[in-house]
Amino acid sequence: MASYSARDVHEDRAPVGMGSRTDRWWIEPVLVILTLVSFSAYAMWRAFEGNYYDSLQALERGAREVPLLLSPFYSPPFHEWFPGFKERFAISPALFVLVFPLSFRATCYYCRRSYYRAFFWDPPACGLPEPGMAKRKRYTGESAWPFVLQNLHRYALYFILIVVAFHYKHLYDACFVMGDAGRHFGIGLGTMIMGLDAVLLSLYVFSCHSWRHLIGGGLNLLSSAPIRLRLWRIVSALNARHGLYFWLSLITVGLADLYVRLVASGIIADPRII
Amino acid sequence: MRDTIRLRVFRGDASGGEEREYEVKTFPGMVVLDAIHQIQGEQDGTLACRWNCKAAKCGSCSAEINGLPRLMCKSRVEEFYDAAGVIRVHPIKTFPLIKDLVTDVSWNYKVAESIPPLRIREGTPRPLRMDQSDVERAQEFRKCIECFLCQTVCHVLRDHNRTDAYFGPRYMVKIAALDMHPLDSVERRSFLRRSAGVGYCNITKCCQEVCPEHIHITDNAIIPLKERVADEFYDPIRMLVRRLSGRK
Repeated sequence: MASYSARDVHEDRAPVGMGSRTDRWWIEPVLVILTLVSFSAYAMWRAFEGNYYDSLQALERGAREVPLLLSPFYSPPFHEWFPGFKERFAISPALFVLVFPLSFRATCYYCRRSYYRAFFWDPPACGLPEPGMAKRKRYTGESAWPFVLQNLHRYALYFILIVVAFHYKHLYDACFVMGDAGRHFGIGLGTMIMGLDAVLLSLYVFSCHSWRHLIGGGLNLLSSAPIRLRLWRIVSALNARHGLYFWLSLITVGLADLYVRLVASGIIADPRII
Repeated sequence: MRDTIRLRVFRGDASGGEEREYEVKTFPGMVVLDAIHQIQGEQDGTLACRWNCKAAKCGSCSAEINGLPRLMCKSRVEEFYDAAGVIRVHPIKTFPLIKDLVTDVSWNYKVAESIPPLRIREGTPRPLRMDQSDVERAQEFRKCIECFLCQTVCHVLRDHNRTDAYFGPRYMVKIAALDMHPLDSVERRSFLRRSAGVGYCNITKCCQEVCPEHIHITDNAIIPLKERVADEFYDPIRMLVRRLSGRK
């Protein structure tokens, strides 16, 4: 059994390293690292690939009819607003688009919790000592550069609201197909996936802590603003599952892009439902 | 459930100490505090531990059970012993050790004294009336039993020892209860940023995970306070509007 001398006692506190956790605390950080690294690698690959983001490309490969799907990694469609975007700006339009969701997710209160634990080990899990404490600079948290910038999360929110609106625009487009007979109504598996992506992204964004503050959390007299009070209660209920929506929306946005790539490259044909 | 379990309890003080093992008989519904009392009563009367209500309401019996801060009176032994029937019980780590499982938490009371109290807006008609929708947020914070589990698990205080810069989650909850009060008139945002150090919290939510009263410390207190501080100090558009409109 462990014994401790006065040397182990720092500032009269219980000895450092005494009684560390023996449960499987490492499972969560490992899962976070695997998921975020896999998603980032996939997103970077797709951004640099700069191709197969518009399902209409399948028509060039001989498909007779395709749904109008645009990858969420390329929405808002800067490539349509600035033809020849890649040549003019020497970067993939996806890299430009990714700035918006990336800044929103990176400054998200839930995501901060996850990466401070998994990547910064600050702390790796509750109650565990932080590795390399002796060599680290004096802790300042989010009160000093660079993490003080996390306070700008609300600005990332304003931009992501625009992105959400575009996801619904692309969901509307996905209710149509293009083929020999021109553009006409049609719903397929791609529409469902785009719908799932739009709904889960909305749940993630509208359960945001900054949004909750903006809607009514900043007021002390909520009773004087009954509409804001009602909205604040709805957002508060959503906010309780903000972490869940973070992961689900991350998965579905990747899934939606993958699906568009498979359709656009002609690997699969979109199964029509209606 | 096993008939007997082995408790490895820290015995010592600021000059050092050791884990000592005690075998105790179990009974249905037994909590870790029962086991500690059994040791005190039958094996070693010198074992020091602080407790009062044994009903998870006084917040006295905080300790680290298998490495995580918990209330001993709320921790059923069958949830904690390992395959060998061992449970490890240690004092909370953030505060100075007095003896065995007892620590000196008086720093917390000094912090509490420094927080500007509630001041009702002048001219508020009496008797005071408040709408339920305005007070329900603060009512959640009033559930706090001051067990200081959140303070002891907070890595800013526990690992970085920044008691000079950050008040800790318990006092973020207290400040939130005051700042969100519908009749309060005190401006606390500058105090929150500079003295209370709300910026030191990096939202790892351990305080919320260990709270025995299930107060959403991070989601409902600390993050809303961070947003209020951001309104005042980190939102350039709001700052510009305030300056142009001549508001403070």
